[in-house]
Amino acid sequence: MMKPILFLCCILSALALVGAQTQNNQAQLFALSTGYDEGSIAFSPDGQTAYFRKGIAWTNLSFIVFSKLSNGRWTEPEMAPFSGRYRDSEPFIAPDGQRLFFSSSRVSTDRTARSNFDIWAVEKSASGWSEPVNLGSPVNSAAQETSPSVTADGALYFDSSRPGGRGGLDIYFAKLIDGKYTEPENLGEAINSAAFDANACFDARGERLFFASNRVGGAGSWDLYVSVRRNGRWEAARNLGGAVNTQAEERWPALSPDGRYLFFTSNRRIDDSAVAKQRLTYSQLVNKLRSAGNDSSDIYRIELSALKLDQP
Amino acid sequence: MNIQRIVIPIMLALVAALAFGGVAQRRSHPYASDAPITEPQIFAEGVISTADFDDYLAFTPDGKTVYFTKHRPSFSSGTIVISHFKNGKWTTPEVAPFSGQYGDEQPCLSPDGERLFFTSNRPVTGATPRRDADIWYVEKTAKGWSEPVHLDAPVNTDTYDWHPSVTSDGTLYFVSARQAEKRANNIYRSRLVGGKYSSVEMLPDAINTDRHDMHPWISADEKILLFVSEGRPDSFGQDDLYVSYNRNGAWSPAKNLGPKINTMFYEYSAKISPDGKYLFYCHGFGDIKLPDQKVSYKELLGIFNSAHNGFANIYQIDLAATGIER
Repeated sequence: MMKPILFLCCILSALALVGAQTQNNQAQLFALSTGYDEGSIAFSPDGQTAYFRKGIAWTNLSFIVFSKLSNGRWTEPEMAPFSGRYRDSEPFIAPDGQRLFFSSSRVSTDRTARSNFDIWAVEKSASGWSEPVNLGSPVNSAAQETSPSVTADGALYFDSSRPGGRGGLDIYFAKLIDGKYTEPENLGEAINSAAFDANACFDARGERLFFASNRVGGAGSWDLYVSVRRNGRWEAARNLGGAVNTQAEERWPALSPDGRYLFFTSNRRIDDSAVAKQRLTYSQLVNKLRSAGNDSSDIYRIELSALKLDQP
Repeated sequence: MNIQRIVIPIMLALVAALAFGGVAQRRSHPYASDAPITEPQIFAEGVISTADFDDYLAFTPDGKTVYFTKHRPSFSSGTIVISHFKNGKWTTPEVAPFSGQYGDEQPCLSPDGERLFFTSNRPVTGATPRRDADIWYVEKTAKGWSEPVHLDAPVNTDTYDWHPSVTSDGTLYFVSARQAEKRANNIYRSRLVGGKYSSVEMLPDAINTDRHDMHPWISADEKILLFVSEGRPDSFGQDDLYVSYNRNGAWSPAKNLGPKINTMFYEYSAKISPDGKYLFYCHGFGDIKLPDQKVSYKELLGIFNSAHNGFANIYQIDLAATGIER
């Protein structure tokens, strides 16, 4: 007969496993999130450096900062060498790590945040990153171009509000041929809707496309969607569901280089299930207003396996 | 022992105390300024106007206590907090005794200071917050403020009824979305008759348009109405502050408070101080000075952690510098 203490240990370890399982299935706040606006994270191919947007709500102030993984912890961020002056956002590192793309309204200093965004890139150099270069026509236009994403073959995916789309922002792609981008093409109706569709992100094989949309039928505001490529065609996108999407905004999907985690940006509130159980003191209030989960955007991650994407 | 050795230092100390006392005397006016404030300036930076989303203030009649609202970054879910003017300074705020659990904002004191009206999404019954907002008040008692009282219909409806302001005779001005389908938010008035608000009227077209007209502040004598309007032809951008005068019962056409106060960003919830000398109002929503040169991460955090981070603050200006006629 099993000794009671051993029996208890078995139960406890079983509970621990269940606990771990549960935790893996839920989106977790990622370490670099604070009370300010963080979002659109991108990793270097070795996963050791993270670039992301840091800004503040309501303003046109948004810069690209980076942090390094050191002894299992993310270091205090630093300003990216090419940022810190103009409005920059949405960094994306090419799969070979040689180029970093981002969106920016440089060199406008318009205080009203209505300035025009284009896609820019910096190239890896001996001393870090080169000076930013505007990708020019035909990628950039007089309309908004944002949220660059590059696949292994060099094709560039991005959002644009240019005429001829299905409404709001649509996702476009341009192939890279002989070092030049082809005329951008709309990704089509499996992906783009009459609402805003944006923030393309691919798995390593380029077979799965994650993106964000504020189309009707979601959990509210922006949600994350996924589409699978079969026989060269994108299948109709489906909502990633309650493990990721809430009535708050979920945007900017990004995969960790090892493909294990889906990262995303959300302005969901933490600890607001209904109402605080009791009245807050002033210091509790100020702490809540200035911490992650206050409803400025934060970075989250979830194990990709928890999304059960292989199930029909 | 030489008595002068003791008396002279004491006299010097007295002279010094009187001199410094003079400074303290000037500072004893809660929000008064020695120098004219001819351009808007941030009120009580660091204590009341902070890195948080701080707005919607109300002074007690003596000006020595201020109630104001702190919001989340998205401008939702307010909490009403209090600061007192003590020893020449505004104290670190405390959460108002009736706030800190639900979304409360827009405090307004009756001119005699006996009632404090505010807007809240607290439930009338049960524990689930409302989806809309209603007007509530607390009453002064020997032990502080009473429990919040919910105003009945016809003031409160099942849509947004908010931003109260009240005259000496208890007439309540407020915003309501009750005709939102046709006319967005509009400003309404309800007279206190026999201790009850039993009917509600929409203010006329001199005030209300078919876009948002909000944030009324009515003077105690009901002669001056300050409010916010969105997108009028004479707007300097976003929401602007306007004034209208009640002349023998007729409202003068709304007048934009002009470019000294109104900017391309949001200006809202203006009030004249209890002593009638200053205009207080809220401004922010993205107004931030961009750096002139590259900033480091540390410098960025310095901007974020200051009152100049683009969230709202409370501003003060001499009423005489606003063009508002008293």
